[in-house]
Amino acid sequence: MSSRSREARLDVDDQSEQSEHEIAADLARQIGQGVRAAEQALVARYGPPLHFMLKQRTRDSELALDVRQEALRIVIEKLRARTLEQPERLGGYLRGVALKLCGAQRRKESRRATTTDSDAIDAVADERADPAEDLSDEQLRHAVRELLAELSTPRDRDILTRVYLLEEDKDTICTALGVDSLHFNRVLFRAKQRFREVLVRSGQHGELRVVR
Amino acid sequence: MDRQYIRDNQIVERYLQGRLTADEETAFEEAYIGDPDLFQELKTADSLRRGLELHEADSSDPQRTSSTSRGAAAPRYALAASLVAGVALASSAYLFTENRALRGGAVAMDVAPGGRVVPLLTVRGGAPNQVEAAATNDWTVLLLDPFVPYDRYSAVLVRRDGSEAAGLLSVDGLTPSYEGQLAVVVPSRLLTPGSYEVVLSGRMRDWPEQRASDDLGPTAFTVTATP
Repeated sequence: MSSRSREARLDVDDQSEQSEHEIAADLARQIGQGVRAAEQALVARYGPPLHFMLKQRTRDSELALDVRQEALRIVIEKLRARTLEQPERLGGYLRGVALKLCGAQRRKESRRATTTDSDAIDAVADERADPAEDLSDEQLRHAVRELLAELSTPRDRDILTRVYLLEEDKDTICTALGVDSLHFNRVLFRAKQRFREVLVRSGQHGELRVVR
Repeated sequence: MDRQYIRDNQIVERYLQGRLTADEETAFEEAYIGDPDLFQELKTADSLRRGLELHEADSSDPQRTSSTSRGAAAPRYALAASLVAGVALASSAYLFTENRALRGGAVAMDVAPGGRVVPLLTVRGGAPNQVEAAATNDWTVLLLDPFVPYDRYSAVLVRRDGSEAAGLLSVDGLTPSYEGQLAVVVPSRLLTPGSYEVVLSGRMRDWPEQRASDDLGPTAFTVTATP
């Protein structure tokens, strides 16, 4: 393995000790040096959250995929040309490009067909949606049933229902159920953690992690 | 936006519900796009929400209402609907008043057919938009590119005089038309020489009423005297 290739092995675990800004600056530098593996690392790191954000905003998974791909292509070309002024702010820049493309995509479908850099297209060519979308309804039902059965008190189940179904805010829930902010945070955190564990255990959702 | 703030303010859940402020939404999106752990938490919460909705819908207990009937029965939805209707009425009344003021005032009377179309560009570093004043009784159609797709937009025309700003015209319910542009129709006589901004905001149809529209920022232009 060449030193460049080794340098470009920026998977998530390797990045855990670096700050986001350091990782972004590293990726930008390596892409500027022509390291193709760094481009793949950029796509792997930023592609899924970018797609999630676009889907959240457009409610259109296909449009979100198209815009994500185009945004990544534009940014990779910019990084290859070393014309990004603040590479450490790569995430924010990608977001800005993607949002502008959303508007442009609506306005002119043909604009996206003027691409000339086929290498950059190859680097970001990944038509798959987020793997989380592959979770079937049945898998989710199963995981939720298991989670609800394990919650220690009806009050904790009530907290989840009020947060996720009734969309009540924290203060309202805490007041109504007589719990403090700390307990509320703990229930929510544990529920997500347990839900993730159930999904991982069933081998359906190995990527999920919960922030501690 | 740090983890403590995210946890204490239910940022993940409120984001999924579309209830963050525009500033919070921007900060949170920038945070999770560059933070795989935070993104995984967001995905977990999204899956949990989907799972709970499915579970709720499956529930055979007649005491528990389905999502749909619960939504229809909840008083807060009725309240939200009332508020929306109220806002719509208030907007209509405002526009009616505005229209009467324009017709009755000195700036626009007996508006004649015809007008001009002025595309306003928002290219950073580009030449500033300039429009010539037109002392005619016609319309100026300001075309704006909203860039970010929303279901509907609002526009406010503001005249700037140093640090002072005065709202001249407010238009709600705009939707993109030709090539995705928004057309803001302004009586030409309103545009006397000076500095102006069109401030856009946008919102999605299914956003809760209490969520503020996203601020899309101002597009500046200058009206110069006719040579």
